[in-house]
Amino acid sequence: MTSAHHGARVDLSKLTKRFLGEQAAVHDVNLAIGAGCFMTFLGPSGSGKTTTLNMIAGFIQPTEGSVRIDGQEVSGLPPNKRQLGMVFQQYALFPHLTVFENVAYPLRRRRISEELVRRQVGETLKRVHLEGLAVKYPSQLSGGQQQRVAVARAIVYQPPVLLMDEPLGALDRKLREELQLELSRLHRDVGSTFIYVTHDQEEALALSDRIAVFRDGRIEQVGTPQDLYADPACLFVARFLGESNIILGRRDADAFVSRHKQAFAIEPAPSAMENESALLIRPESMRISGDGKLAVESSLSATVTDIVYLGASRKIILKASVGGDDLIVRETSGQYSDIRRGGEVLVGWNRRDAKLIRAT
Amino acid sequence: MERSLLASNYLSSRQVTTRKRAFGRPAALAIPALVLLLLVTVLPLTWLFAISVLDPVPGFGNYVDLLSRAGFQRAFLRTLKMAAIVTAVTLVFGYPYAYAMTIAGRKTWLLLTLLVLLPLWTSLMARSFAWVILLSDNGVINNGLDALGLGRLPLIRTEIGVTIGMAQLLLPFMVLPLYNSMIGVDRRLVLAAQSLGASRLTALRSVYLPLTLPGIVGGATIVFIMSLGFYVTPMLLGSPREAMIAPYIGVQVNRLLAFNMAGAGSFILAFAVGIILVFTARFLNSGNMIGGYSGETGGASARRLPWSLRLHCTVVGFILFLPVPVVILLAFAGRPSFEFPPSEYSLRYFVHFFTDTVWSGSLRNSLLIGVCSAALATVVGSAAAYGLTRSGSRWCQAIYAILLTPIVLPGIVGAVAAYVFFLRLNLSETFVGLVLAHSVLGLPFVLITVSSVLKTFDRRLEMAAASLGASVPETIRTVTLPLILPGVITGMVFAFVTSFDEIVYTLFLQGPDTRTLPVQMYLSVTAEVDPTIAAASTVVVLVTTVLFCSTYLLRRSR
Repeated sequence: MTSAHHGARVDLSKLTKRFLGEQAAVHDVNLAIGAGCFMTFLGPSGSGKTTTLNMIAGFIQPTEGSVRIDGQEVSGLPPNKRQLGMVFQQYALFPHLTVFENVAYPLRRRRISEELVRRQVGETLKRVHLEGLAVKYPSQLSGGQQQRVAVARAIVYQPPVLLMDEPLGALDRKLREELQLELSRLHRDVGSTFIYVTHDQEEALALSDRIAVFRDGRIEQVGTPQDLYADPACLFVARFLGESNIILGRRDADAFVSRHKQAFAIEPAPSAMENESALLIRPESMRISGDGKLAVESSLSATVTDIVYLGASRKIILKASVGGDDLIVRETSGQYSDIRRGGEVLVGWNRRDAKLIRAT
Repeated sequence: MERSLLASNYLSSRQVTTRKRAFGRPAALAIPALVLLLLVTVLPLTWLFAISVLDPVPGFGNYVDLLSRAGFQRAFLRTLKMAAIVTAVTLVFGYPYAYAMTIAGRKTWLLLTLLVLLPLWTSLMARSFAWVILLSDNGVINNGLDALGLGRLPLIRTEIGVTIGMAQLLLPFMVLPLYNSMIGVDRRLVLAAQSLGASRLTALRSVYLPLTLPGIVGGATIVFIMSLGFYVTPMLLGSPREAMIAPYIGVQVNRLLAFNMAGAGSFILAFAVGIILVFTARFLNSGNMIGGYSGETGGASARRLPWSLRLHCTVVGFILFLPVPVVILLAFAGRPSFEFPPSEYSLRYFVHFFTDTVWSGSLRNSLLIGVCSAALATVVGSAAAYGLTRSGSRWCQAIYAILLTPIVLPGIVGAVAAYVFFLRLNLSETFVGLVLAHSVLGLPFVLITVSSVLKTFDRRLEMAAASLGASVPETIRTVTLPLILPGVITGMVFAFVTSFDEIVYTLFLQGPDTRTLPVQMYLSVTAEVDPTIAAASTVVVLVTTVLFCSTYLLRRSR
């Protein structure tokens, strides 16, 4: 483990999986994952992300399409010939083997000299801060330690591609955030291509170079976390990543008309977006005023229904006076200290913060 | 055992967890087991059936002839009656006992469980011998009654004797299904019924009893079916003039060499069993039988048992335990008599057991046949269990059920069929023939235990091994096998003990050179007054106890 080695490209083309008698679990997935990229498959359960991962790993044979690793087609290869590493949900550590033997397992399958095995296992355990636990059995470890063993076992042989299936799903929130940082660091150190499956959007935003959002067996959008948050292609992505205020309606020339016949100014958009029919405003872009004065381009009146204290910030929940839509405003610096629950307010946003998106 | 253990597993373990496998056709691994079953059970049954309908003339003449014989009718009716009595007795004794197990504290629960399982691991021949001693006209019970001034009762060679002998052997098969259905009942329901105005007795009758009905029907079915096929116990404890159907069939084969009649009798018996199974299968399928019996669940509440239950359990436990000390004490007898308790003590019958060529030879045969058949059953059965659990096909569940048929097939039917067929193949009286037959009887246990560990086995461990670079054989060697080993060993021990204790098939298939210990014991009981049989019984009980205890400890340590 002396120098960072290089990750491999992974290309999925027209990847489709139909299980007997069911509709396609994965349908026509096309995705290019660059060498060394941290790619996250994000989506609700049943969206096809794990099935896609299992097709890359070789546990599931695709019905159609291909998986290429560094340009080489691997569809016919069994999992053990694909040179991948995988971290499983709930870790799948071998209960009859010690930590050392678990981590040494892939090296021994590769008939590496015992001396080298000892050295590499030692280095890898150090890397995940488990030096002292080599002789323990998995059942003697905490959840976080087991997770580290699972990672160590998957990276000890420096696979060019590391697959991770909700590796932090079984841990509590604090530990999860700690290990997220470690995984990020590990990704930089190891240099492998990471493919990471999760349904946790915060985790996806925190870790990934790129995110592929899955929905009903298809990829809805691929992009950097910033792209997806700031510029979601559709309502599904917008709702899945972060909190959002959604106003349904339709575009009318240079304005947006809500279902409740309110008109809002929007940025000039390409005419191809004629059918877009939702306006997205992130909560941190919303402004409120209790005295009816608000220096923004769009506004509407609303009632404060709840104020949620979140420590570093507050979340103000409102109900629009016309139509009754729920709206969320995030206050970050105490600027709305005069807002009270039940109060009538004016809520609004600047035109450049309102995003016109597909409603489907 | 006359009938193999854990019969009811047949029922629950039918639902094999199945999932698609990326590689190979694992179901093919069941082929050796099927070949074995074909050779020892399927082909012999077919052959026997063919004889019964073809010899001397085609048609069902033999069946008509047999059914019209007064002797057969009496034997058949008596068998049905005895089976009904034994079922009723085990239910009446077993229901409160099982109930006590569900409410007992941890230690009491363990004691009750050990006692009820006792007949499963203290040799059938040893227990039968003990009951011969206890029930005989000058036996312990009659001496006791006489001393109390109640006079002597005819017990041995009566239906009472047979009932006692069969009921205590079959009690576990009643208690375990009952216990399993009872622990599934939410006890608050009885309290709820009481809060709604029912008296305690009404609450039990209107709520608890119906909810435990699957256990009652399941246990009753197993006990009834097993009673129908009992062979050795009625021969030792019953009267020759009051033959039951299994001995009646045995006589057709052994004395009269009327294989066609034996075949007809066997299939009439099998038909009766089949009819019962058709009606009760849905209760047996409910899955709450021994398969779900974890052995770790009891003793949740630490309540003291009510005195009535304590008394009941003490009596039942005493009856179950009684044969063990009787046999052990007799083994240390100093004189060639079965007086109990012995007036003199010595080790001479142990010495005789290990030095006499007939006795020690039969022990050697039993050990050899036991080891060989257990090894065969383990290899073939484990492979089949692996293949069947890992294949997604619906056929696999059917194959699994077929491989368990030796459990529900009445011993006498299978034994007669194997005997007639092996005679044809020149396999009877041979070592190979006995090993094959015993391994088929052990196969279901291996299949059940290995399947049950495979079902709880985390398949992702194999996926992990594959992702880490292990080939399929390497995965099996380094991950699967080490993790299922406890199940494999348990199955092997069960298979060994099944063979070590087997008597019905062996009585038919053995010859002068292949006489096993249970057969030698059987011949000794029927022919002579020789306390060596007590020494032999003690050794057998010791061997099985040590085997089961070490298996249990092995599983605990993992």
